[in-house]
Order: sequence, then C-alpha cells, then structure tokens
Amino acid sequence: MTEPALNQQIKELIVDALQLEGVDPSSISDSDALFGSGLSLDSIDALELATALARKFEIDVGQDDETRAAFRSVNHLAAYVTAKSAVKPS
Amino acid sequence: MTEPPSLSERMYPWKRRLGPLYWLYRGWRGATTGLCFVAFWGGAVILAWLGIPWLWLWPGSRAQKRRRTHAAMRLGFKLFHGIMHALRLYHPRSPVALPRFGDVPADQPCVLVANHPSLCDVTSIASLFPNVVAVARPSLANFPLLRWLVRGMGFVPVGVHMLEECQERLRSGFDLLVFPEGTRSPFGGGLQVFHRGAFEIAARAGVPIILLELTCVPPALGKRLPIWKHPDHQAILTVEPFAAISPSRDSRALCREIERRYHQILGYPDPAARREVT
Repeated sequence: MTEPALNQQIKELIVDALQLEGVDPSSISDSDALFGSGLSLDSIDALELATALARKFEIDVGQDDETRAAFRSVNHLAAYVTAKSAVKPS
Repeated sequence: MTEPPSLSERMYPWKRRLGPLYWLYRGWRGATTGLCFVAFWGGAVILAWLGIPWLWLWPGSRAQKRRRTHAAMRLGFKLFHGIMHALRLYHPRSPVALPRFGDVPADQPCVLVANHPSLCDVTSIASLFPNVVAVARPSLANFPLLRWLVRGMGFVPVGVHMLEECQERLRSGFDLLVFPEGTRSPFGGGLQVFHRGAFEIAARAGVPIILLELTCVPPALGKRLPIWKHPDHQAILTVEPFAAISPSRDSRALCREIERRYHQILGYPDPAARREVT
C-alpha cells in the first residue's frame, strides 16, 4: 500500500471510529498532533482508535512506548501500521 | 473577628501545645505512619503470593474466584484501616451503608465517581461498601509482585481493554469506582481536569452514575504530601453520595457538567472560567 493511500485510510478511520461529525477526513493534517492540540482527542478516543486500528488492519495494538509514540500524528500511525503489518502479513 | 486557622495550623495544632516534646510526638507519628505503609504493602505481597494460589486453584467459576479474592482483599483493607484507626492516623466513614442516592435500587450496579483527596480513598471506599472495584493505574496492575492480586480481585487496569473490562465488571454486579481526575486532587485545594472515561463507561453499560463527595479533615496523605508530614490529629475521611445521574450519550458534555458540579459543591471557582483565561 502506498503511503498517501494508507494515510487517507487512517484519516477516514479516525472520523468513522470517533464519530467526528462535520470533520472532512482530508482536512486532517498528516503531521499535526492528534491529541491535546490539533483535533484535541482525549484518552477515550485513543482507546477507541486503538481498537478500530487493530480491527481494520488486523494488527496487535499493545501498550508499549512504541504504541504511545505512534498516536502522535497520522504519519506516525501510518508508519506504525506498516511496521506491525510487516510482522504479521494478512 | 479572628483569622481562620491556616492549613499548617489545622494540620499541626499540637506544635504549640507540646513545646519541645512535640518532636518526640512527631517521631512517633512518623514511625506509625511508616509502619502502616510497610504493613499494607507487605500484607498485599503476602496475600498475593500465599493467598492467590489457594483462592484461584480452589474449584469454582471465574466469577466465583474473583468474588472470593475480592472478599479476601476487602478483609485485608478492613484490617489495614482497623490498624490505622487504632493508631489514630486515619479513619474512613460514611453516613450510608450503600453508595446509592435517590431511588437507585441497592442491587443496581453503578459507576461511582469521586474526588480524590487522599492516598487511601480506594481502600476506604472498598472497605466501607461491598462490591466495589476500581480502575487501577498500570504501574500497579503490572507490578510483578501484585499484578495477580490486583487483577484477581477484579480491579481493571487502565489500558486498551479497559472499556470492555469495566462493562463486564458492571454486568457481574460490581460497582465501578473511577476518579475522573485520574490521580489525586492537588493538595491544598482545587481539582485536576476531569477525564470522560467514567461517563463513557456508564453510557455504554447503561448504568447510573453516583457522585460521591470525599472530604478528609484534616487533610492527609494528599498529592505531594510526604508521608512523614501526616497531621497531628487522626484524619477522618467522610464518603457521602450526593447525586445520582443518568448516563448520557454525550459523555464529553456530561463530564464538563459533573466537573462544574464538583467545583461548586467543594467551593472552588468554576473551571470553565479558568479555562477561558488560559
């Protein structure tokens, strides 16, 4: 999967899973922070996003520092999903 | 009109009365507080390693084993609080036998929400009321010596699966205690920013939310208060339910509203005003 396509998929997943009504997936920035500032998601959003990612991409989303770092931005999430899918090819 | 006593006068009134003997008293105070800490963690480790195998290997369903472990731990908490009471350090009490308010039936599982003034709030609430499990911070739930005990008694570790696990606990009849602040309240007044987890869990499980007001007089075992600075008098923690709220699908709005109510009831300025300034 090419990078931009994966990024777009993740953005759509964010809007879908978190029911962000009125947010256009393509308006989400690739590199801006998702939590705190930017979309200002919170801890429960992170849980829901983790569950949605695990289901959609069939990957294990753990609780390690690597996972925590992945939730910084869409780019980080895409890299994380790519790395995790490589370990467990679908 | 006389000035109201300052925080340090409220916590250490014997300093003036005892004179030079005061430091002897403080030494005793520090030693007994330390003893309680050692007794608590030592007792927990002993129960975890000597009790858990029996409690879990004895035949029964998973739910029965959890009930069993919870009952054993509750006994431990009561013993711990008995010792603290006997040493005149800390004593929890509540005007009610069950954390319910209004017409919420006794057998209806609830999400219990509370402010978090002291370190012993969880042990207090779990020993005052039956069937209370809490959400545990990961450092405790994953601590090798204690993880089986914390999980075995039904406490839910914060993490990816906490939403489902919390709902499972509520379904099996436990009351779920969550501190929306996520940690102890700031020492000396005010509250931390509320998180919406408790309200989201209640919405998903469709259970009422009971609001508990916790007051610790004099303030003790607070955030960033070293344990050797325990007050001169016994600290009394009062746990009192003051409202029952139906869950709302919009957990964000409900969270802000409850945060405002807590500020109101505890006499702190409205958090919305503060947020606009920053």
